[in-house]
Amino acid sequence: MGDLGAGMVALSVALTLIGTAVATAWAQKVIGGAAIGAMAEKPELFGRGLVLMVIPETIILFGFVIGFLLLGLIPQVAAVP
Amino acid sequence: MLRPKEMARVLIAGPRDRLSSTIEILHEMKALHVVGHVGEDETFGLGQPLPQASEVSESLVKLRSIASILEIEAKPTLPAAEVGSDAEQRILTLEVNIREEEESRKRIDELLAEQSVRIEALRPFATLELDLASYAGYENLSVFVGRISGDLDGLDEVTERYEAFRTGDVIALFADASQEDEVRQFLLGQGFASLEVPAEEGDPRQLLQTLLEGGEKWRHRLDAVRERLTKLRAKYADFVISAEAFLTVEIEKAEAPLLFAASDHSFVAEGWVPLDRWPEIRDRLGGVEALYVDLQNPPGEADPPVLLDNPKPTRPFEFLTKLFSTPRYGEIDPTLPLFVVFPLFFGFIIGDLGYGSLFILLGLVALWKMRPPSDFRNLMAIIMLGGVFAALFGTFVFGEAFGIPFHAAVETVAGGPQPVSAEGTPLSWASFGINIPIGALVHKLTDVGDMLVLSVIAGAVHLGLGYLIGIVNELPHSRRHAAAKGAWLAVLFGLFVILMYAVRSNRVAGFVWDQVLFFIPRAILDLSGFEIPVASLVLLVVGTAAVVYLEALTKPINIAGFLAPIEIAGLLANIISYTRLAGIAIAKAALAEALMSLVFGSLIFTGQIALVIGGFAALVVAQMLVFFLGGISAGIQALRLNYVEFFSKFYNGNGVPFKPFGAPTVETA
Repeated sequence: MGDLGAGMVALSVALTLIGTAVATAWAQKVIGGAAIGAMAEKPELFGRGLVLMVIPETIILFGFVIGFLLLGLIPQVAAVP
Repeated sequence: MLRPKEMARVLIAGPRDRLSSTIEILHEMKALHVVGHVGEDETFGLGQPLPQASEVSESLVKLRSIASILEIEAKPTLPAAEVGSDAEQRILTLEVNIREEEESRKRIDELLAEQSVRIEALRPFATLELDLASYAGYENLSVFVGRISGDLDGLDEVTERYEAFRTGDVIALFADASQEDEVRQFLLGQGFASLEVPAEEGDPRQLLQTLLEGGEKWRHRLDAVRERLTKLRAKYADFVISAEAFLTVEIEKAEAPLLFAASDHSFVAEGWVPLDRWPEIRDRLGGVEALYVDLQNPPGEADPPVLLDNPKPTRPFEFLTKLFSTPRYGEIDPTLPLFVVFPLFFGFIIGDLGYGSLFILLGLVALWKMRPPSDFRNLMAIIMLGGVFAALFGTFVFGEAFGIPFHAAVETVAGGPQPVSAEGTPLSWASFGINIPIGALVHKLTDVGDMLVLSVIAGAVHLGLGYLIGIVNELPHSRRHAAAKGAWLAVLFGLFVILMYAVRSNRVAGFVWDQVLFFIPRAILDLSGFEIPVASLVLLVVGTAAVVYLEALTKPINIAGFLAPIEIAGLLANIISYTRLAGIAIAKAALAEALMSLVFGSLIFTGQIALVIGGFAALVVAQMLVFFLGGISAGIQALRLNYVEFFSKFYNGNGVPFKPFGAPTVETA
């Protein structure tokens, strides 16, 4: 794989993480706001609120795993002699 | 241990005149969760409060008003016995005394407020030195009194027939009434704002003087009243607080019959008792003459209250269970699995001897300093146990303390540890001459693959445990649902085998595939480049078919059950979700590594005195940052894996917490 190819892969990793991170943040913003609102009315909803709040984290975890698999395509990065 | 305490339904019936002794015993035993009587029929209606109820509640209202006047807020100090039976008499006396002082305080406050309004109104007129009578009673003169910001230089051009008195910005202007409008126009142009003349008589300076002197006198009186109130507070605070606690209990007892069924001559109380306390309650109440106490079959739709029953070391984790939801009666209490898994996950994420020891230290301080019951104390106990695992993982698996490895990783990775010494070796405890004879099994920053595979294995085991508990939970209700959980377990296992085979080039996954999953047939199906073990494909297909058969083809047909094949993706997402264990562990280690390399490489190891001092300050800040960020994210993520991924496999929750009659209401942090 040439330098250009390696660069492209590295860029893909960055794009994957950016996209999934923004998606997670946006989803958590919406859910978190609503959860805090509900909790102000009924504090016992904390548990359920927390659960709903953290569900979108799975998005960035997918990004993390895919990013890691992509990184494996760049031989120079995987192991420096 | 794995289930809440077994409850028994108790029926207590007796003549009405035994009501108060029954209530006394029940309140003292704190063992009966009273089920309120619902509905009325010809014989039994709702019970009436005991006769003393209205008297007690009246005393309580008085006492609370006394407490608010005296501004008393504290925990009760005297035992209820010392409050005594003459409490009502004492409250009455205290109330009379305090009410008097409070009223004179209020009156003086009002008086002073009124006076200060008068003083403010008089003040500008006092500066003008005119008698108050001279501002009114003219036929041909218009009087303007007020404050003005401009000057009167131009007034001569408007009128010559005027006389003005001015001190500072206060002005009194007497002008010919025929030119009133013109003069007003002029004054407004100069920023004039009129003042009202006080409706009093005499020299304003004298009036002001009298008022100020009088105010001084009243203020002294107010101080005296306040002083007396302070003395009263010091003298009676203990009594007021303890009496309030005592009366609150009394009123709870007096109003208890509202939950009972009562006829003209008898009463019936129903409730739940933990089965192991039943003999005790039977003996105590059996001692009351003419009282009938026995167990009865609960009505069909009854939902017994839930009293969690766990061995002492695991009890702090009940806090985490209840934070999510109280388990339903008859359901497996997830406190024990939480006790095992949460500290393990927390420890894996932190994975550091130094930080682990700090968490243990924090927990010990909390256990020593704080008194139960306290949610915060529970939380610290949980964190402490997590710290133990963090220290173990840090010592024997990751070989790391305070974000610095015992020995630098042999393999250097681009973007990984940077050299900090002249010899070009990355930072490690060896850099300080400390040689710890334990090698790391897994280096967080270089063995990312190992970390991910370990997380996935932990996830599969955890989810599998969830399905097993689900089977146990469902078995008494519906064999069909229990079998469906079993089918899901098969699907989970199939997915796990596929994952392990796919990454078998990794040493951990390779070990699992070769040594642990040795019984899986080695036949591999090649789907145009994507290889799947045949056995796992069979598991997936059979498992999914079984789920659809069990969940969808019921009577009547359940459409949602047909979505099972899509749910497989959800289960895969659940497994992948556990990679957060690796993700956060690596992120935390990378942050610590980067900060430490900077602090030591660029500051402390330079040997220049200013940089070294700055370096140590930066070291403290960086360590605190890593410690607290790590602790918070590790705690939340470990909890989330339990709440979301694990609990969703079996947990219902929404149980009614066991609240025995007479138990104090626990204050929560």
